[in-house]
Amino acid sequence: MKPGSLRKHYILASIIVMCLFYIIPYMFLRKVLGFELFAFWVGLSLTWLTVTNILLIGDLA
Amino acid sequence: MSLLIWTFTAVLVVYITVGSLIAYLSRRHGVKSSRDYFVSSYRLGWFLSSMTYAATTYSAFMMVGLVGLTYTSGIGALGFELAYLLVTVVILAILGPRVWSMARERGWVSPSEMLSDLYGSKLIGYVITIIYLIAMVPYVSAQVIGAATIFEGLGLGYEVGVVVVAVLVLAWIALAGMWSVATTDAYQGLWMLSAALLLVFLLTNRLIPNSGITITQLNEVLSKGGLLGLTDFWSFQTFLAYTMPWLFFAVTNPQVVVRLYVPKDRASYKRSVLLFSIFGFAYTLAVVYVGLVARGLVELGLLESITVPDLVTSKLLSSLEPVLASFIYMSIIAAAVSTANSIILAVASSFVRDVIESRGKPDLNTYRISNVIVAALTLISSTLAFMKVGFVVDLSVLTSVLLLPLAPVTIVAWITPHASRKRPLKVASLLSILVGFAVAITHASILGPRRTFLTSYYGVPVSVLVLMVATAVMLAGFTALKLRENKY
Repeated sequence: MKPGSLRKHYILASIIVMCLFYIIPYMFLRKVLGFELFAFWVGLSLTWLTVTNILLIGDLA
Repeated sequence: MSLLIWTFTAVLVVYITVGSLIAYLSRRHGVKSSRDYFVSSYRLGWFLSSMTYAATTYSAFMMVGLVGLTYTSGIGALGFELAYLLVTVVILAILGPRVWSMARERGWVSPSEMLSDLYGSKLIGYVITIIYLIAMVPYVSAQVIGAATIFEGLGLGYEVGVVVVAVLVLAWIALAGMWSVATTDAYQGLWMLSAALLLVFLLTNRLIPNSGITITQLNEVLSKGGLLGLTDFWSFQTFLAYTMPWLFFAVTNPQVVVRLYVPKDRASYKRSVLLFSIFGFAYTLAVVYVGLVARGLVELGLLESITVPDLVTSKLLSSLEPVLASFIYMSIIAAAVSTANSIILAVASSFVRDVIESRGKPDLNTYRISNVIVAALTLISSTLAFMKVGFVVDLSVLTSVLLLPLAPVTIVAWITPHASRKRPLKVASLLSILVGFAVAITHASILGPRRTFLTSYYGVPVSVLVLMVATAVMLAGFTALKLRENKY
Protein backbone atom coordinates (compact mmCIF):
# COMPACT_ATOMS: atom_id res chain seq x y z
CA MET A 1 0.00 0.00 0.00
CA LYS A 2 1.36 3.46 -0.92
CA PRO A 3 1.98 5.92 1.96
CA GLY A 4 -0.66 8.35 0.60
CA SER A 5 -3.27 5.63 0.46
CA LEU A 6 -2.32 4.34 3.90
CA ARG A 7 -2.65 7.87 5.24
CA LYS A 8 -6.20 8.14 3.87
CA HIS A 9 -7.11 4.78 5.36
CA TYR A 10 -5.62 5.82 8.67
CA ILE A 11 -7.63 9.05 8.76
CA LEU A 12 -10.83 7.17 7.91
CA ALA A 13 -10.08 4.53 10.53
CA SER A 14 -9.39 7.25 13.13
CA ILE A 15 -12.80 8.80 12.46
CA ILE A 16 -14.43 5.37 12.85
CA VAL A 17 -12.52 4.76 16.09
CA MET A 18 -13.73 8.08 17.50
CA CYS A 19 -17.33 7.31 16.48
CA LEU A 20 -17.05 3.94 18.24
CA PHE A 21 -15.58 5.69 21.27
CA TYR A 22 -18.85 7.63 21.60
CA ILE A 23 -21.45 5.22 20.19
CA ILE A 24 -20.60 1.86 21.81
CA PRO A 25 -20.78 3.13 25.43
CA TYR A 26 -24.11 4.86 24.87
CA MET A 27 -25.64 1.98 22.92
CA PHE A 28 -24.35 -1.08 24.72
CA LEU A 29 -22.38 -0.23 27.87
CA ARG A 30 -24.47 2.44 29.52
CA LYS A 31 -25.53 0.58 32.64
CA VAL A 32 -22.83 -2.07 32.97
CA LEU A 33 -21.98 -3.23 36.48
CA GLY A 34 -18.50 -4.58 35.76
CA PHE A 35 -15.41 -3.16 34.11
CA GLU A 36 -16.67 -3.54 30.52
CA LEU A 37 -16.90 0.20 29.85
CA PHE A 38 -13.53 0.83 31.48
CA ALA A 39 -11.98 -2.00 29.43
CA PHE A 40 -13.58 -0.74 26.22
CA TRP A 41 -12.33 2.83 26.55
CA VAL A 42 -8.89 1.82 27.80
CA GLY A 43 -8.52 -0.96 25.21
CA LEU A 44 -9.65 1.18 22.29
CA SER A 45 -7.45 4.11 23.34
CA LEU A 46 -4.40 1.96 23.94
CA THR A 47 -4.83 0.16 20.62
CA TRP A 48 -5.26 3.32 18.61
CA LEU A 49 -2.47 5.19 20.41
CA THR A 50 -0.17 2.26 19.58
CA VAL A 51 -1.26 2.11 15.93
CA THR A 52 -0.90 5.88 15.58
CA ASN A 53 2.60 5.96 17.03
CA ILE A 54 3.75 3.01 14.92
CA LEU A 55 2.50 4.74 11.78
CA LEU A 56 3.96 8.08 12.85
CA ILE A 57 7.40 6.63 13.56
CA GLY A 58 7.26 4.84 10.18
CA ASP A 59 6.34 8.14 8.45
CA LEU A 60 3.06 6.65 7.27
CA ALA A 61 0.46 8.71 9.13
CA MET B 1 3.04 25.36 63.09
CA SER B 2 2.03 21.79 62.41
CA LEU B 3 4.37 19.13 61.07
CA LEU B 4 2.55 19.21 57.72
CA ILE B 5 3.17 22.94 57.28
CA TRP B 6 6.87 22.53 58.09
CA THR B 7 7.22 19.60 55.73
CA PHE B 8 5.27 21.33 52.98
CA THR B 9 7.47 24.41 53.34
CA ALA B 10 10.61 22.28 53.16
CA VAL B 11 9.37 20.46 50.04
CA LEU B 12 8.38 23.83 48.55
CA VAL B 13 11.90 25.15 49.12
CA VAL B 14 13.38 22.07 47.43
CA TYR B 15 10.91 22.37 44.52
CA ILE B 16 11.69 26.06 44.00
CA THR B 17 15.45 25.68 44.43
CA VAL B 18 15.83 22.79 41.99
CA GLY B 19 13.44 24.38 39.47
CA SER B 20 15.21 27.74 39.63
CA LEU B 21 18.58 26.06 39.21
CA ILE B 22 17.31 24.20 36.14
CA ALA B 23 15.84 27.41 34.71
CA TYR B 24 19.06 29.30 35.39
CA LEU B 25 21.23 26.64 33.76
CA SER B 26 19.02 26.71 30.66
CA ARG B 27 20.35 30.23 29.99
CA ARG B 28 23.47 28.67 28.48
CA HIS B 29 21.45 28.00 25.30
CA GLY B 30 21.40 31.75 24.71
CA VAL B 31 18.46 34.04 24.02
CA LYS B 32 19.10 36.82 21.53
CA SER B 33 15.99 37.09 19.39
CA SER B 34 12.24 36.64 19.84
CA ARG B 35 12.63 33.31 18.04
CA ASP B 36 15.08 32.17 20.75
CA TYR B 37 12.88 33.53 23.50
CA PHE B 38 9.52 32.14 22.41
CA VAL B 39 10.34 28.96 20.50
CA SER B 40 13.98 28.21 21.42
CA SER B 41 14.76 28.69 17.70
CA TYR B 42 13.23 25.23 17.14
CA ARG B 43 16.06 23.48 18.99
CA LEU B 44 14.35 21.32 21.65
CA GLY B 45 15.17 17.62 21.79
CA TRP B 46 12.48 14.94 21.96
CA PHE B 47 12.46 14.64 25.75
CA LEU B 48 12.03 18.37 26.42
CA SER B 49 9.51 18.74 23.56
CA SER B 50 7.43 15.92 24.93
CA MET B 51 7.55 16.85 28.58
CA THR B 52 6.80 20.51 27.96
CA TYR B 53 3.78 19.46 25.87
CA ALA B 54 2.57 17.14 28.64
CA ALA B 55 3.18 19.51 31.55
CA THR B 56 1.56 22.38 29.65
CA THR B 57 -1.50 20.36 28.66
CA TYR B 58 -2.14 18.71 32.00
CA SER B 59 -2.95 21.45 34.48
CA ALA B 60 -3.99 21.47 38.12
CA PHE B 61 -7.39 20.40 36.80
CA MET B 62 -6.20 16.79 36.64
CA MET B 63 -5.37 16.16 40.31
CA VAL B 64 -8.13 18.45 41.57
CA GLY B 65 -10.95 18.74 39.01
CA LEU B 66 -10.75 15.35 37.30
CA VAL B 67 -10.36 13.47 40.57
CA GLY B 68 -13.48 15.31 41.80
CA LEU B 69 -15.36 14.69 38.56
CA THR B 70 -14.60 10.96 38.74
CA TYR B 71 -15.60 10.93 42.39
CA THR B 72 -18.99 12.46 41.64
CA SER B 73 -19.76 11.03 38.19
CA GLY B 74 -17.87 7.75 37.91
CA ILE B 75 -16.12 6.18 34.94
CA GLY B 76 -17.61 8.62 32.40
CA ALA B 77 -14.83 10.99 33.45
CA LEU B 78 -12.34 8.49 32.06
CA GLY B 79 -14.05 8.59 28.67
CA PHE B 80 -14.02 12.38 28.73
CA GLU B 81 -10.27 12.55 29.37
CA LEU B 82 -9.26 9.66 27.09
CA ALA B 83 -11.28 11.17 24.20
CA TYR B 84 -9.10 14.25 24.50
CA LEU B 85 -5.87 12.23 24.54
CA LEU B 86 -6.87 10.02 21.63
CA VAL B 87 -7.91 12.85 19.32
CA THR B 88 -4.90 14.95 20.30
CA VAL B 89 -2.45 12.19 19.41
CA VAL B 90 -4.27 11.56 16.10
CA ILE B 91 -4.05 15.30 15.30
CA LEU B 92 -0.38 15.33 16.28
CA ALA B 93 0.20 12.42 13.89
CA ILE B 94 -1.83 13.68 10.93
CA LEU B 95 -1.33 17.45 11.02
CA GLY B 96 1.55 17.96 13.44
CA PRO B 97 4.44 17.08 11.08
CA ARG B 98 3.06 19.46 8.46
CA VAL B 99 2.83 22.32 11.00
CA TRP B 100 6.30 21.51 12.34
CA SER B 101 7.70 21.74 8.82
CA MET B 102 5.81 24.93 7.84
CA ALA B 103 6.86 26.67 11.07
CA ARG B 104 10.49 26.31 10.01
CA GLU B 105 9.97 27.29 6.40
CA ARG B 106 7.92 30.37 7.29
CA GLY B 107 9.63 31.31 10.56
CA TRP B 108 6.56 31.22 12.79
CA VAL B 109 7.03 32.16 16.41
CA SER B 110 3.53 32.86 17.72
CA PRO B 111 0.31 30.91 16.97
CA SER B 112 -1.53 34.07 15.88
CA GLU B 113 1.37 34.89 13.55
CA MET B 114 0.88 31.44 12.01
CA LEU B 115 -2.75 32.22 11.08
CA SER B 116 -1.90 35.77 10.13
CA ASP B 117 0.71 34.39 7.71
CA LEU B 118 -1.42 31.55 6.34
CA TYR B 119 -4.33 33.90 5.58
CA GLY B 120 -2.12 36.82 4.58
CA SER B 121 -3.92 39.15 7.00
CA LYS B 122 -2.46 41.18 9.85
CA LEU B 123 -5.97 41.88 11.09
CA ILE B 124 -6.50 38.18 11.87
CA GLY B 125 -3.37 38.28 14.00
CA TYR B 126 -4.68 41.25 15.99
CA VAL B 127 -8.14 39.70 16.46
CA ILE B 128 -6.67 36.40 17.66
CA THR B 129 -4.34 38.17 20.06
CA ILE B 130 -7.35 39.88 21.66
CA ILE B 131 -9.25 36.56 21.84
CA TYR B 132 -6.25 34.93 23.51
CA LEU B 133 -6.22 37.70 26.06
CA ILE B 134 -9.93 37.34 26.87
CA ALA B 135 -9.88 33.54 26.91
CA MET B 136 -6.48 32.73 28.40
CA VAL B 137 -5.98 35.26 31.21
CA PRO B 138 -8.91 33.82 33.23
CA TYR B 139 -7.47 30.34 32.65
CA VAL B 140 -4.11 31.44 34.06
CA SER B 141 -5.89 33.08 37.00
CA ALA B 142 -7.71 29.80 37.66
CA GLN B 143 -4.35 28.01 37.82
CA VAL B 144 -3.02 30.55 40.31
CA ILE B 145 -6.20 30.25 42.37
CA GLY B 146 -5.94 26.44 42.35
CA ALA B 147 -2.37 26.50 43.63
CA ALA B 148 -3.02 29.29 46.13
CA THR B 149 -5.97 27.37 47.56
CA ILE B 150 -3.55 24.61 48.59
CA PHE B 151 -1.52 27.18 50.55
CA GLU B 152 -4.74 28.43 52.14
CA GLY B 153 -5.90 24.91 52.99
CA LEU B 154 -2.62 24.16 54.73
CA GLY B 155 -2.81 27.37 56.74
CA LEU B 156 -0.04 29.22 54.91
CA GLY B 157 -2.34 31.91 53.56
CA TYR B 158 -3.99 32.33 50.17
CA GLU B 159 -2.13 35.57 49.45
CA VAL B 160 1.23 33.87 50.06
CA GLY B 161 0.22 31.22 47.53
CA VAL B 162 -0.68 33.81 44.89
CA VAL B 163 2.64 35.61 45.38
CA VAL B 164 4.73 32.40 45.32
CA VAL B 165 3.04 31.12 42.14
CA ALA B 166 3.20 34.50 40.39
CA VAL B 167 6.90 34.92 41.19
CA LEU B 168 7.67 31.38 39.99
CA VAL B 169 5.71 31.82 36.77
CA LEU B 170 7.47 35.09 36.04
CA ALA B 171 10.97 34.01 37.04
CA TRP B 172 10.90 30.71 35.19
CA ILE B 173 9.87 32.49 31.99
CA ALA B 174 12.12 35.53 32.34
CA LEU B 175 15.32 33.54 32.85
CA ALA B 176 15.46 32.12 29.32
CA GLY B 177 12.00 32.16 27.71
CA MET B 178 11.06 28.84 26.11
CA TRP B 179 14.30 27.23 27.28
CA SER B 180 13.63 27.86 30.96
CA VAL B 181 9.94 27.04 30.53
CA ALA B 182 10.62 23.74 28.71
CA THR B 183 13.32 22.57 31.12
CA THR B 184 11.26 23.40 34.20
CA ASP B 185 8.23 21.82 32.51
CA ALA B 186 10.21 18.59 32.11
CA TYR B 187 11.15 18.72 35.78
CA GLN B 188 7.58 19.49 36.83
CA GLY B 189 6.11 16.91 34.45
CA LEU B 190 8.25 14.21 36.06
CA TRP B 191 7.14 15.44 39.47
CA MET B 192 3.46 15.35 38.41
CA LEU B 193 3.58 11.83 37.00
CA SER B 194 5.64 10.41 39.88
CA ALA B 195 3.27 11.96 42.42
CA ALA B 196 0.18 10.54 40.68
CA LEU B 197 1.74 7.08 40.46
CA LEU B 198 2.90 7.32 44.08
CA LEU B 199 -0.65 8.13 45.16
CA VAL B 200 -1.96 5.11 43.23
CA PHE B 201 0.65 2.94 44.94
CA LEU B 202 -0.16 4.30 48.39
CA LEU B 203 -3.88 3.89 47.94
CA THR B 204 -3.53 0.32 46.67
CA ASN B 205 -0.90 -0.92 49.07
CA ARG B 206 -1.54 1.15 52.17
CA LEU B 207 -4.86 2.94 52.45
CA ILE B 208 -7.10 0.19 51.08
CA PRO B 209 -5.54 -2.72 53.03
CA ASN B 210 -5.22 -0.58 56.17
CA SER B 211 -8.93 0.20 55.94
CA GLY B 212 -9.60 -3.52 56.24
CA ILE B 213 -11.06 -3.95 52.76
CA THR B 214 -9.96 -5.47 49.47
CA ILE B 215 -9.97 -4.10 45.92
CA THR B 216 -12.78 -6.57 45.14
CA GLN B 217 -15.00 -5.06 47.83
CA LEU B 218 -14.22 -1.63 46.48
CA ASN B 219 -15.18 -2.73 42.97
CA GLU B 220 -18.41 -4.20 44.25
CA VAL B 221 -19.49 -1.02 45.96
CA LEU B 222 -18.62 1.07 42.89
CA SER B 223 -20.55 -1.36 40.72
CA LYS B 224 -23.56 -1.24 43.05
CA GLY B 225 -23.55 2.56 42.86
CA GLY B 226 -23.59 2.41 39.05
CA LEU B 227 -20.25 4.25 38.93
CA LEU B 228 -18.67 1.78 36.53
CA GLY B 229 -21.29 2.57 33.90
CA LEU B 230 -22.55 5.94 32.68
CA THR B 231 -24.26 7.72 35.56
CA ASP B 232 -27.19 10.10 35.01
CA PHE B 233 -24.72 13.00 34.97
CA TRP B 234 -23.21 11.70 31.72
CA SER B 235 -26.13 12.17 29.36
CA PHE B 236 -25.00 12.08 25.75
CA GLN B 237 -25.37 15.88 25.52
CA THR B 238 -23.23 16.40 28.61
CA PHE B 239 -20.56 14.02 27.32
CA LEU B 240 -20.58 15.89 24.02
CA ALA B 241 -20.52 19.30 25.72
CA TYR B 242 -17.56 18.27 27.89
CA THR B 243 -15.52 16.53 25.23
CA MET B 244 -16.08 18.72 22.15
CA PRO B 245 -13.94 21.73 23.20
CA TRP B 246 -11.18 19.37 24.33
CA LEU B 247 -11.11 17.40 21.09
CA PHE B 248 -9.83 20.55 19.39
CA PHE B 249 -7.56 21.65 22.25
CA ALA B 250 -4.40 20.81 20.27
CA VAL B 251 -5.55 23.06 17.44
CA THR B 252 -7.04 26.01 19.31
CA ASN B 253 -4.93 26.57 22.42
CA PRO B 254 -1.90 28.80 21.75
CA GLN B 255 0.31 27.21 24.40
CA VAL B 256 0.11 23.80 22.73
CA VAL B 257 0.03 24.97 19.10
CA VAL B 258 3.37 26.70 19.63
CA ARG B 259 4.81 23.43 20.94
CA LEU B 260 4.38 21.89 17.50
CA TYR B 261 7.14 24.21 16.25
CA VAL B 262 9.84 23.47 18.79
CA PRO B 263 11.28 19.94 18.25
CA LYS B 264 14.71 20.20 16.65
CA ASP B 265 14.12 17.62 13.91
CA ARG B 266 11.46 15.32 12.54
CA ALA B 267 12.68 12.32 14.55
CA SER B 268 12.48 14.36 17.77
CA TYR B 269 8.95 15.39 16.90
CA LYS B 270 7.83 11.78 16.43
CA ARG B 271 9.48 10.56 19.61
CA SER B 272 7.95 13.44 21.53
CA VAL B 273 4.46 12.36 20.42
CA LEU B 274 5.20 8.82 21.58
CA LEU B 275 6.38 9.93 25.01
CA PHE B 276 3.44 12.31 25.35
CA SER B 277 1.05 9.42 24.54
CA ILE B 278 2.58 7.30 27.29
CA PHE B 279 2.57 10.19 29.77
CA GLY B 280 -1.03 11.14 29.02
CA PHE B 281 -2.31 7.60 29.19
CA ALA B 282 -0.58 6.79 32.49
CA TYR B 283 -1.48 10.11 34.10
CA THR B 284 -5.15 9.86 33.08
CA LEU B 285 -5.55 6.32 34.41
CA ALA B 286 -3.82 7.23 37.67
CA VAL B 287 -6.00 10.28 38.27
CA VAL B 288 -9.26 8.45 37.48
CA TYR B 289 -8.21 5.57 39.76
CA VAL B 290 -7.72 8.03 42.63
CA GLY B 291 -11.22 9.45 42.13
CA LEU B 292 -12.81 6.00 42.02
CA VAL B 293 -10.99 4.78 45.13
CA ALA B 294 -12.05 7.89 47.05
CA ARG B 295 -15.66 7.31 46.08
CA GLY B 296 -15.47 3.63 46.99
CA LEU B 297 -14.06 4.46 50.42
CA VAL B 298 -16.86 6.96 51.01
CA GLU B 299 -19.51 4.47 49.88
CA LEU B 300 -18.08 1.91 52.32
CA GLY B 301 -18.19 4.47 55.10
CA LEU B 302 -14.41 4.47 55.52
CA LEU B 303 -13.97 8.06 54.45
CA GLU B 304 -16.12 11.01 55.43
CA SER B 305 -18.46 12.11 52.63
CA ILE B 306 -17.01 14.96 50.57
CA THR B 307 -19.47 17.61 49.41
CA VAL B 308 -17.04 19.77 47.41
CA PRO B 309 -15.60 17.59 44.62
CA ASP B 310 -12.44 19.71 44.29
CA LEU B 311 -11.47 18.73 47.85
CA VAL B 312 -11.36 14.97 47.23
CA THR B 313 -7.59 14.84 46.70
CA SER B 314 -6.92 16.98 49.78
CA LYS B 315 -9.11 14.67 51.83
CA LEU B 316 -7.16 11.62 50.70
CA LEU B 317 -3.83 13.36 51.29
CA SER B 318 -4.83 14.22 54.85
CA SER B 319 -4.48 10.54 55.72
CA LEU B 320 -0.88 10.30 54.46
CA GLU B 321 2.41 11.11 56.16
CA PRO B 322 3.30 14.82 55.80
CA VAL B 323 6.27 14.22 53.51
CA LEU B 324 4.27 12.11 51.05
CA ALA B 325 1.28 14.46 51.18
CA SER B 326 3.57 17.45 50.59
CA PHE B 327 5.22 15.75 47.62
CA ILE B 328 1.79 15.18 46.04
CA TYR B 329 0.50 18.65 46.93
CA MET B 330 3.58 20.08 45.24
CA SER B 331 2.74 18.15 42.06
CA ILE B 332 -0.53 20.11 41.87
CA ILE B 333 1.35 23.38 42.26
CA ALA B 334 3.83 22.18 39.60
CA ALA B 335 0.94 21.39 37.24
CA ALA B 336 -0.49 24.89 37.78
CA VAL B 337 2.86 26.68 37.32
CA SER B 338 3.83 24.69 34.21
CA THR B 339 0.50 25.41 32.54
CA ALA B 340 0.38 29.06 33.58
CA ASN B 341 3.87 30.00 32.39
CA SER B 342 3.42 28.24 29.05
CA ILE B 343 0.18 30.13 28.43
CA ILE B 344 1.70 33.46 29.38
CA LEU B 345 4.70 32.84 27.13
CA ALA B 346 2.42 31.93 24.20
CA VAL B 347 0.10 34.93 24.66
CA ALA B 348 3.10 37.25 25.06
CA SER B 349 4.54 35.88 21.81
CA SER B 350 1.39 37.03 20.01
CA PHE B 351 1.82 40.55 21.38
CA VAL B 352 5.50 40.74 20.55
CA ARG B 353 5.28 39.22 17.06
CA ASP B 354 1.88 40.43 15.82
CA VAL B 355 1.59 43.79 17.50
CA ILE B 356 5.17 45.03 17.95
CA GLU B 357 7.61 43.26 15.62
CA SER B 358 5.22 43.09 12.65
CA ARG B 359 5.42 46.89 12.54
CA GLY B 360 9.12 46.52 11.75
CA LYS B 361 11.19 48.00 14.55
CA PRO B 362 14.35 45.89 14.54
CA ASP B 363 16.27 48.16 16.93
CA LEU B 364 14.02 47.24 19.86
CA ASN B 365 15.41 45.05 22.63
CA THR B 366 13.22 41.98 22.14
CA TYR B 367 14.33 40.24 25.31
CA ARG B 368 13.43 43.23 27.45
CA ILE B 369 10.12 43.90 25.71
CA SER B 370 9.14 40.23 25.93
CA ASN B 371 9.90 40.19 29.64
CA VAL B 372 7.88 43.36 30.19
CA ILE B 373 4.85 41.84 28.44
CA VAL B 374 5.27 38.56 30.33
CA ALA B 375 5.45 40.53 33.60
CA ALA B 376 2.32 42.51 32.70
CA LEU B 377 0.34 39.37 31.87
CA THR B 378 1.52 37.65 35.05
CA LEU B 379 0.55 40.71 37.08
CA ILE B 380 -2.93 40.92 35.54
CA SER B 381 -3.60 37.19 36.04
CA SER B 382 -2.33 37.17 39.62
CA THR B 383 -4.23 40.32 40.52
CA LEU B 384 -7.44 38.73 39.26
CA ALA B 385 -6.56 35.59 41.25
CA PHE B 386 -5.78 37.70 44.32
CA MET B 387 -9.15 39.44 44.08
CA LYS B 388 -10.93 36.12 43.40
CA VAL B 389 -13.15 37.81 40.82
CA GLY B 390 -16.03 35.36 40.50
CA PHE B 391 -16.71 35.92 36.83
CA VAL B 392 -13.04 35.38 35.99
CA VAL B 393 -12.99 32.02 37.74
CA ASP B 394 -16.20 31.04 35.96
CA LEU B 395 -14.90 32.26 32.64
CA SER B 396 -11.92 29.91 32.89
CA VAL B 397 -14.39 27.01 32.56
CA LEU B 398 -15.34 28.42 29.21
CA THR B 399 -11.80 29.02 27.88
CA SER B 400 -11.84 26.03 25.56
CA VAL B 401 -15.28 27.00 24.21
CA LEU B 402 -14.17 30.60 23.56
CA LEU B 403 -11.23 29.28 21.54
CA LEU B 404 -13.33 26.78 19.54
CA PRO B 405 -14.00 29.16 16.60
CA LEU B 406 -10.27 28.94 15.87
CA ALA B 407 -10.57 25.21 15.11
CA PRO B 408 -12.05 25.26 11.58
CA VAL B 409 -9.97 28.29 10.60
CA THR B 410 -6.76 26.65 11.78
CA ILE B 411 -7.46 23.22 10.29
CA VAL B 412 -8.41 24.71 6.90
CA ALA B 413 -5.21 26.78 6.83
CA TRP B 414 -3.05 23.78 7.79
CA ILE B 415 -4.60 21.60 5.10
CA THR B 416 -4.78 24.18 2.30
CA PRO B 417 -2.02 26.72 2.98
CA HIS B 418 -2.04 27.89 -0.67
CA ALA B 419 -5.78 28.46 -0.94
CA SER B 420 -6.14 30.17 2.43
CA ARG B 421 -4.54 33.43 1.20
CA LYS B 422 -7.26 33.92 -1.41
CA ARG B 423 -9.74 36.65 -0.62
CA PRO B 424 -12.96 34.62 -0.02
CA LEU B 425 -11.22 32.38 2.52
CA LYS B 426 -9.41 35.32 4.09
CA VAL B 427 -12.73 37.11 4.68
CA ALA B 428 -14.46 33.88 5.77
CA SER B 429 -11.73 33.11 8.32
CA LEU B 430 -12.12 36.49 9.98
CA LEU B 431 -15.91 36.22 9.99
CA SER B 432 -15.76 32.64 11.25
CA ILE B 433 -13.65 33.65 14.24
CA LEU B 434 -15.75 36.73 15.02
CA VAL B 435 -19.16 35.07 14.66
CA GLY B 436 -18.14 31.93 16.58
CA PHE B 437 -16.59 33.99 19.35
CA ALA B 438 -19.66 36.26 19.48
CA VAL B 439 -21.95 33.23 19.93
CA ALA B 440 -19.78 31.93 22.79
CA ILE B 441 -19.27 35.23 24.60
CA THR B 442 -22.94 36.26 24.22
CA HIS B 443 -24.04 33.01 25.87
CA ALA B 444 -21.47 33.53 28.62
CA SER B 445 -22.77 37.06 29.28
CA ILE B 446 -26.45 36.09 29.30
CA LEU B 447 -26.41 32.65 30.93
CA GLY B 448 -23.13 32.86 32.82
CA PRO B 449 -20.15 30.69 31.86
CA ARG B 450 -21.08 27.60 33.86
CA ARG B 451 -24.63 27.38 32.51
CA THR B 452 -23.39 28.09 29.00
CA PHE B 453 -21.18 25.03 29.21
CA LEU B 454 -24.12 22.72 29.83
CA THR B 455 -26.87 24.46 27.84
CA SER B 456 -28.21 22.60 24.79
CA TYR B 457 -30.56 23.57 21.96
CA TYR B 458 -32.49 20.55 20.68
CA GLY B 459 -29.76 18.35 22.12
CA VAL B 460 -26.94 20.45 20.61
CA PRO B 461 -24.61 21.86 23.30
CA VAL B 462 -23.38 25.45 22.95
CA SER B 463 -19.82 24.22 22.30
CA VAL B 464 -21.04 22.20 19.31
CA LEU B 465 -23.15 25.16 18.18
CA VAL B 466 -20.08 27.43 18.24
CA LEU B 467 -18.15 24.90 16.19
CA MET B 468 -21.01 24.47 13.73
CA VAL B 469 -21.41 28.21 13.20
CA ALA B 470 -17.67 28.74 12.68
CA THR B 471 -17.48 25.76 10.30
CA ALA B 472 -20.53 26.95 8.33
CA VAL B 473 -18.90 30.33 7.74
CA MET B 474 -15.72 28.65 6.52
CA LEU B 475 -17.74 26.41 4.21
CA ALA B 476 -19.47 29.50 2.81
CA GLY B 477 -15.99 30.91 2.17
CA PHE B 478 -15.00 27.75 0.30
CA THR B 479 -18.18 27.91 -1.79
CA ALA B 480 -17.48 31.55 -2.65
CA LEU B 481 -13.91 30.61 -3.61
CA LYS B 482 -15.13 27.82 -5.93
CA LEU B 483 -17.75 30.09 -7.52
CA ARG B 484 -15.12 32.75 -8.09
CA GLU B 485 -12.65 30.31 -9.62
CA ASN B 486 -15.32 28.86 -11.93
CA LYS B 487 -16.29 32.37 -13.02
CA TYR B 488 -12.75 33.14 -14.14
